[in-house]
Amino acid sequence: MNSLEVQNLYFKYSSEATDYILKDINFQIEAGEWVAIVGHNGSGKSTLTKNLNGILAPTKGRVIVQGVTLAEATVWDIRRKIGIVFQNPDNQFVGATVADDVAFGLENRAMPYAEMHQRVHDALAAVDMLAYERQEPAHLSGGQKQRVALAGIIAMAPDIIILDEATSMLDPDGRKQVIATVQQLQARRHNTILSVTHDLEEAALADRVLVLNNGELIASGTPSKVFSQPKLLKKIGLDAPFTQRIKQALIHQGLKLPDGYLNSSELIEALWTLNSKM
Amino acid sequence: MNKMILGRYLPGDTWLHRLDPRTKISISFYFIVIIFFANNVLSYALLLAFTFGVIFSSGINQKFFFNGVRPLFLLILITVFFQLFLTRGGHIYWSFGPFALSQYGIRSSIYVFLRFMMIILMSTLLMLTTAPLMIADAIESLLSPLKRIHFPIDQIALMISLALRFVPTLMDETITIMNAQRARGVDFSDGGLIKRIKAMIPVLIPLFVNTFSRAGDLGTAMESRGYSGEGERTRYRKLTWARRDNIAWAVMLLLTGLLFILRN
Amino acid sequence: MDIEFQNVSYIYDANTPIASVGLKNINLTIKQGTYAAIIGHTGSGKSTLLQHLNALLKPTTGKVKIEDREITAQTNNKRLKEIRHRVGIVFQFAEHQLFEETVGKDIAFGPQNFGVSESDSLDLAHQMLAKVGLSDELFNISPFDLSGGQMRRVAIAGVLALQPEVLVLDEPTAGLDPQSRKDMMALFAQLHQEQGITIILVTHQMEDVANFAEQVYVLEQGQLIRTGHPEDVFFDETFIQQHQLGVPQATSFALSLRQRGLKLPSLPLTEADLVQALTTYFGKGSVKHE
Repeated sequence: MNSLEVQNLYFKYSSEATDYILKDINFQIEAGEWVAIVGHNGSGKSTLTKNLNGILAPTKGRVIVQGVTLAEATVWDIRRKIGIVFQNPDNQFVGATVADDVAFGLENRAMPYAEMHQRVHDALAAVDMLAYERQEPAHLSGGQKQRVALAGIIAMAPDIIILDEATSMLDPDGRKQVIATVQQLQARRHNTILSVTHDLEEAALADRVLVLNNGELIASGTPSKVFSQPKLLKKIGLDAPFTQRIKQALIHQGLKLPDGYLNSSELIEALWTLNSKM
Repeated sequence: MNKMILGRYLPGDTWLHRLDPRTKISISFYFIVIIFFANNVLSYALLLAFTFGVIFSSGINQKFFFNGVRPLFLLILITVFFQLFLTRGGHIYWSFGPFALSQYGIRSSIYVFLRFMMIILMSTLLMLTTAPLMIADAIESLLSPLKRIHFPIDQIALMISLALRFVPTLMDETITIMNAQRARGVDFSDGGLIKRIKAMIPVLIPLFVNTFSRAGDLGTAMESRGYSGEGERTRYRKLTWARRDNIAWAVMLLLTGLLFILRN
Repeated sequence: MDIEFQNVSYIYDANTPIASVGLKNINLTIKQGTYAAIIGHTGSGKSTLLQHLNALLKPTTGKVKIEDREITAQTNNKRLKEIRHRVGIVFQFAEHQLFEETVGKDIAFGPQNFGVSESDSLDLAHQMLAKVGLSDELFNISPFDLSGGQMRRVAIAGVLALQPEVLVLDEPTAGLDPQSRKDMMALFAQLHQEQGITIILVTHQMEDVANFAEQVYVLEQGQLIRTGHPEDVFFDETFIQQHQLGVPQATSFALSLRQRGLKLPSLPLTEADLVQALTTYFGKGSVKHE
């Protein structure tokens, strides 16, 4: 069964608006898959996220989450199946302390006291933030706040996790921590992950990449396939990942390197092989 | 400005910090009430001893505490001044028009001074040792009987908690925006009142705009996490009444007993 | 205009139980026309230092010399305006400072505060709008109708309109997408090269440091722990490891290659350097082979 399915989705903010912000979006994500949606700022990425859990209602088309079609009657059920980490670490921190924030979703579900405390504790341990349990958000870094947001999601145990530009406001340390936490999570819990980003290094971690431009999906495929199309990336104003840029420049200089996208250790191996052939 | 401690909370782990906030709030009110039963030197001495006993045993930084409350004493002195010169009775030492310096005046102004002082010292101590959030929790708990008449205590409590949560964020933001405008040549300390108010416009507009966008984001995040504004919610934080709270109340009752023995 | 810090310390909430050190005994000189970068972890004192650069904060002890003006704890708040005119600061998420009804008026706001006439300042605003790469059609619309990236550019134009001799940039590209990021960094480099403006960049992006900075200042817990050229700092492996600092991707990639056994003769700072180094390496290799 597909974890998440979007069929012919169109969206505009008001019926008078002439242009659609999202145009005929179609995709499916399988359970346990990690998919990245890439596009520059203003390409419609965040509008798409809000359509997936009913914060915005599609103008046309359907969103199906684990077999349930998103509608007014099902919206609260669907929100239980999807956890979202948003872009701005401050604006999604609801609780007065770390533990309170993690508990917020559980409180909304009217979970009994003892179970709630257990879950908050476990979730904070999972993101390595237990030591900060009683801290106020003002004393946390952006990366720590995002990890708390992740803990808030883990506590709710949804199947689908959406990272909506969750690392774009973080410094490199914070970004690394958040991504590492997500990777660990997926390894352990096999969540379906949809990461919406303009950072192709982050997108490289996905099984599949969807490219969004001006509200339309213009390409999709494995990171390897998408990143080896420099023209496409240039068109959407994104930069190929570091290793891809280096590899392309080296090929341009006449070095014989394999096709397709290579991550850092793969490129090192390729260069090593080249070296030993010398 | 940073010496002012009214409304400030100092994190810590003293016995006063650990006391249930409901105990602290209700005892503070109780104490204010019994202060008014003191009516002679001995009863005032008892309450003063109690007040300073609490302060000294609280483990709070004494110098910081007394420096911080000092500005408040100016306010008391003004009140005391009126009390001193407008009360007549007993022997009159000096008089001029409606003003007089009398035996009663002196005595009652000293008593008024002591009362205010104790109230201020105790309430400042309460604020310093109780996180705003705990005060909000305590108020919620103390008002919870109102739920029966469908007063939306839960929503109000969440609103207060969110407001408290965003105070530091908005303070930081205000400082950042002020710095940015200062760097663009705005001088907030220059000129008369009108000029100064005008200088705040470039701060207030961005602050409002950003706060609205924050509120929008926050609403989205809350809804995404299942907050619908209706239906039953449980609470993560529970106030727990401990033995030390019983002891605190026992001490208060003892104090009351002594007070009534010592008063006239 | 040279900037010099002499034994500068700054303490937040001085004389209270919650006092905390912002800066500790900082000594540094930034010469006129330098492209300087300040790096360090979050909370290392970068923002505190930055606010000393145009007297938004005054040192608790020590002094900051901005050309011939000395700023100490005792300095009067009046007469600081001249400094602020000559040292412009672009704060993090600078779009948060926009407030005027139109883009043009917002850019002209700064110059007007420093006594430039309305018509001159609006002329300046037109120029600066073009300089940051935005169309003049935006001049009369509300800044709040722009996209986030456009708002950032308008805010930067508002600081450039002061025509500062020193431009301080606090994470100017945070949150922007790659293309806008590149455009913006190119703009600052151009200002530096063509007009000789001193640039002081506070950043976490080591690539930007590698590509543009001539001098790097490393802060840790309020102290200046290293000053030097980017090569000196980034190639000092022990230092980098000790203080858990990031290095440019090209440098770290080359280090991994060396670890794998590839004997690269020199370390690269930028991507171009890396490609150059590898081409030379393999170029020589194949010559030997033939």
